[in-house]
Amino acid sequence: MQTRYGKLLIALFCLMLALPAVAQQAPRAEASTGTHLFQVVVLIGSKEMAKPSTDVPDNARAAIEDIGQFLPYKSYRMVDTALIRSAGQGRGVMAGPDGRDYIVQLRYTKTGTTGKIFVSDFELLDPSRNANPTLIQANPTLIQTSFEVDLRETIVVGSSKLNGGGEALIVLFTAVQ
Amino acid sequence: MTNHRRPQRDEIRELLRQGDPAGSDTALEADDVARMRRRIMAEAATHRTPFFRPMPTFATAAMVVLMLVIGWTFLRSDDPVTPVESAIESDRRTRQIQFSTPGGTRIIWLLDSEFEV
Repeated sequence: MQTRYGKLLIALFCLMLALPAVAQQAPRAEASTGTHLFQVVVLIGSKEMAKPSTDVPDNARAAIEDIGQFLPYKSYRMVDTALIRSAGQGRGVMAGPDGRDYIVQLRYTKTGTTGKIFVSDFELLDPSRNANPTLIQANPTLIQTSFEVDLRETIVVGSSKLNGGGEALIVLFTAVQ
Repeated sequence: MTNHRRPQRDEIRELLRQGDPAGSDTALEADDVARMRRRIMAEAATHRTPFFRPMPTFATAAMVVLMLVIGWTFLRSDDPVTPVESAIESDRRTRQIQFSTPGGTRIIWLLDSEFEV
């Protein structure tokens, strides 16, 4: 009887040692099969008339035409576009205006079986702000928000001054697949 | 020339029997065997192992609990995401509004007092 319990304890101990390895393998398997592709398009909206960008992706162009009738900006200039494939969180470097680099990073979860994606953290950062001592607020965050999006839906995330004047930074976020 | 004869098998058996110190003992009687058996069975019945043994059971339960705790800790600590520092500072006034265009495009707009392209 004693040896039977001893064997049981040894088996449980071995199982305990193997459990962390199994736990580490599980997210990897999910990551390899549960990735999503996101398209991020950065635009500058301006109240000045300008020649519209011609290299805008089709889905972004449709969204621009839609918001163009709604927002007080007369022209939209595309700054950069990026595709981010991610399995829960992603990060990419995009070209910003005036030769600066923007960093886009996101974290998301798939909500249930409906195909909806909850982006719990979406951020657009300008790291050069940290290095600029003339800025009173050396905060690199340009946009930070969260939202839910359907597959193949485009969400418009914009930022401007409180009075909406001047230029606006606009991100078209599409859950491609 | 000396002629060595190899001993036969029967002779070896006989020699072994002669040298066996217990060879002259007689077997136990059937009554003695039965009495010994009853005595042994009675002693075994009085010292039977109880069905519930607290120490091994508690040790097993403790091992299972420890295994679950360690597994849960690894599952919880597997998230490599580092917390992102809040981007909104106390004196930075931001306001977020959400609306949809007539065409159905959803818009999230951040009004930021410190906004600068």
